[in-house]
Amino acid sequence: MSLVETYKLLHVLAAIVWVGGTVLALIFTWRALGATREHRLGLAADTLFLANRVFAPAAVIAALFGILMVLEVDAFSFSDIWIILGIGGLLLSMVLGMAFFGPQTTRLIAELTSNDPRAEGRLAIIAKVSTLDAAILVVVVWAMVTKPGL
Amino acid sequence: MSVGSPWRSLRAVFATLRLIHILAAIVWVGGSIMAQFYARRLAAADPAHRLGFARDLRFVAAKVFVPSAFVVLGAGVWMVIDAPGFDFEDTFVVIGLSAVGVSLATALLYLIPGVGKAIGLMTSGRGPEAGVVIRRVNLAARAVIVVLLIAVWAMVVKP
Repeated sequence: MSLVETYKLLHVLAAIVWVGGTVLALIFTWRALGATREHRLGLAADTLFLANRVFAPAAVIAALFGILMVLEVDAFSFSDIWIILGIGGLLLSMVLGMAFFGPQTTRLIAELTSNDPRAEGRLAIIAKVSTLDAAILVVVVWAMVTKPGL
Repeated sequence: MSVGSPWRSLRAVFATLRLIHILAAIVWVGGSIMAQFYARRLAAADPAHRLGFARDLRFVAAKVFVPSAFVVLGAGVWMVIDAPGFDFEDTFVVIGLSAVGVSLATALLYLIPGVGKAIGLMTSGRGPEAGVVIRRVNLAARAVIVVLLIAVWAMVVKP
């Protein structure tokens, strides 16, 4: 396997875990709206744990090996539209993760633990923003696969 | 119509099939991997969360992963038929088809019924027996993930 093939395989594997995991978490979040308090609490705690230990590292690995490929392959450039879309989408998703999902899920866990009725509304908002996040990542995948402008 | 139009149209069909194939594979493979990470956290979980998770997992497996697997298979086969450079005897195609076949059969015949059985045992208060079933299902699910990762390697590297 060549160096570029190795970069590509690691980039693809990390992206699969990141994007596929995001879709799974999205489905779990929507289903949590009709779930018991104990299950909601368990899911929220699990998702927060996995966001820090799996989602974020997978996103960083996907970005790192993507950048290494752009540096290695002469036909790729950081000014290509599909690469700008990829990096832009990745940054947007990372900002959403750090600025929205992390703090909101922490608050949700606290509200569920204390039986606070505000948890219901917060979970619904998290589900809606999760849908937006998944849509951003689908656009990134579309850009990576079809490579518009190349 | 210009001379290049039919060729451009074929390329557009191939690009669309490739995107559908990849998106479905991401949902299936990435979701399966992440489901294992979630499942690993259940050992010390509240019984109500375990039951809720098992129900979510059965829903996702039956309504999301299996349909995604069929989309991966359908779009992949269509691409091999359509693209002049691909053949059903190519090593990466053989590996991919075998992996999808084994994974789908395991999911339909063992994993989904296994989770259903565990849910039945949990709701009837037989938690320890459900735990044994879940451990077996998890082991089989991990084996399926290894098979799927080999398929991803074959699709990316095309040996």
